Amino acid sequence: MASSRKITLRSSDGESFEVEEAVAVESQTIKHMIEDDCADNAIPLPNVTSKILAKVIEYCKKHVDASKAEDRVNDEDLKAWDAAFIKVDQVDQATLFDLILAANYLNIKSLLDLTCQTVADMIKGNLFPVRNEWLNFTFSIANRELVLVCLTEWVAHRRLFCS
Amino acid sequence: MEAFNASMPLPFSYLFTSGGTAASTSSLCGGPWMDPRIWSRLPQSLLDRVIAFLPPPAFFRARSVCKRWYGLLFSNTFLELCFQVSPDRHCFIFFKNKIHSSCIYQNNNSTNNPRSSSSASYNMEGYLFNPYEIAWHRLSFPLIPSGFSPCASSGGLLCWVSDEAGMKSLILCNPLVGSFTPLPPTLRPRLFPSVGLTITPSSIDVTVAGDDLISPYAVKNLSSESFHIDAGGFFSLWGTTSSLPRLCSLESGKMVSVEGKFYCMNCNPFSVLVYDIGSNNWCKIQAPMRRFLRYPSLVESKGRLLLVAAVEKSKLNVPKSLRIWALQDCGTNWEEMGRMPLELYIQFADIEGGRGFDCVGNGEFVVIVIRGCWDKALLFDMWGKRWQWIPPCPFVGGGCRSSDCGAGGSGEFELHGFAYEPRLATPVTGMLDQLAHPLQSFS
Repeated sequence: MASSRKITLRSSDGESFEVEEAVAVESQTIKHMIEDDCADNAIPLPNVTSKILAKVIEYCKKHVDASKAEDRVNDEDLKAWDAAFIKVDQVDQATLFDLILAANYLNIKSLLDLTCQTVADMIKGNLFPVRNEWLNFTFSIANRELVLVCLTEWVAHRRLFCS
Repeated sequence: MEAFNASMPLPFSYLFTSGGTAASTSSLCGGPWMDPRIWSRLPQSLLDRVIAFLPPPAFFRARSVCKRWYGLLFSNTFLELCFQVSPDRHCFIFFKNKIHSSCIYQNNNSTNNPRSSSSASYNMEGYLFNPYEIAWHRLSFPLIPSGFSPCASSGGLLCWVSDEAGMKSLILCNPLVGSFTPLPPTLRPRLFPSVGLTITPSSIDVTVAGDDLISPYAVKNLSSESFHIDAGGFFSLWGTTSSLPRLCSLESGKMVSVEGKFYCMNCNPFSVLVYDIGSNNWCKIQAPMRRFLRYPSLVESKGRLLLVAAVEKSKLNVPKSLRIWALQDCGTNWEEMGRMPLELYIQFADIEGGRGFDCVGNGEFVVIVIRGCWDKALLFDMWGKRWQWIPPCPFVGGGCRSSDCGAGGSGEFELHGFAYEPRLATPVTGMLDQLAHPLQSFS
């Protein structure tokens, strides 16, 4: 069983968060730092603000608690909690963006997958429906004209295209 | 790489076929606005990861956005990422069968192409059904030569087997990227054997069983041959053979793969044949209520084997029903898992009219297709406990609808299907390329 040692994490804006070791090591990055014995004092996280770090800690706490519970009924509840946690009303786009970067930097696979899936769903909602069939690329892509527009311009001009 | 024009392609096709759903019509302007000031700052590697989470139809649409996204399909790093992060999608793929009164099913190339089946415009078509959105998509298989039929599916790959009697040639195909990987031919001549396929991230197992041609005019269910190749370097090019149990009839032609074993339905009387891939051994297990089953089918769900069948106890006062059993971990006992609601079964039996039905399953879904009708199929969501009729496939046209065919008459064709997991990356086929075995060429 993981010890209930407390680890201090310091965000980029100087705020300190005390968390249980079990929660902190949900992040592989922090886990390696602890193993390498860099964790005597507070662990500095220069890439993560306090606002984001608070949300990340909330996510990790919930997942650690859920894994402790014995019954697997919690799988569905956990999924529902994740969906509520990441809902785009609750979490504005800037926060979602910061969460992806934080999950990547801290190496928390489940949070990274959750945030990436959320952004993928947003992109999916913005893609032009071409035809209701899957394209076999050997068959049809060679004949298609392609738009040479990078993501920023395309997104900015989306309103022009949708009418 | 060809040069791309910078002009806007016009017009975008905003057509929706009737097979689409409300979700696809609202996404045109219904997607959430994405702030480009934020998202343009996302590093490429993370953006690639996000794209890897797109389901394949969205991914193919996304390829029209820019050159970089177009090229991802060719990038090994991206495909590897897809392989790691893409969630499982439990879909189905159906093919048309022309119905012959003699009950021997053949390819429908004559339906697609009224000229001879060997004409240059032959093009096999499959219909992908997405149970999450109740949507149909069409997939084409331009590389599959005529004279081959689909026989099995696993891990994003479809297996095709040659129709001609004799040594059987098999092809593995990933329909999304149009890949074509032939296997070495089997060693024993067969007529219409049952084929089982199991793909894991590091291995390929294929088993071909039954219909041994003991003479040019005599067929008997005698043996099975197995093919194996894995990343550890072990392979068996059909040298692994085993005898089938006595007096078995593998009429369904399909084998379901569950946890390292192949299962197929045996008829007269109903039982289940089990092939253990690891020990190269066949055995038989009893089917539940075997004397009262009608049209049993085997499906796989979440690592368990399920049997779906109609039950009729004509002599007892038991209402007819359609039931689902699950094989228990002991490997011999079955437990009833669910039944079709009675009102729905009455409706179903009315439409089915004694013609029979077939089932395919994938993940939490089971699709029941009525024989002789290409437009009548039921979807059962096991986790949500929901039954619903599936809208007919919009790409299957030209044939008469089942309602036009009078009682006892047969439609022009029907659909038969397989469980299918759409995957962009199927790297295991790379192992087959390394085989030095001379491969048969297809003209």
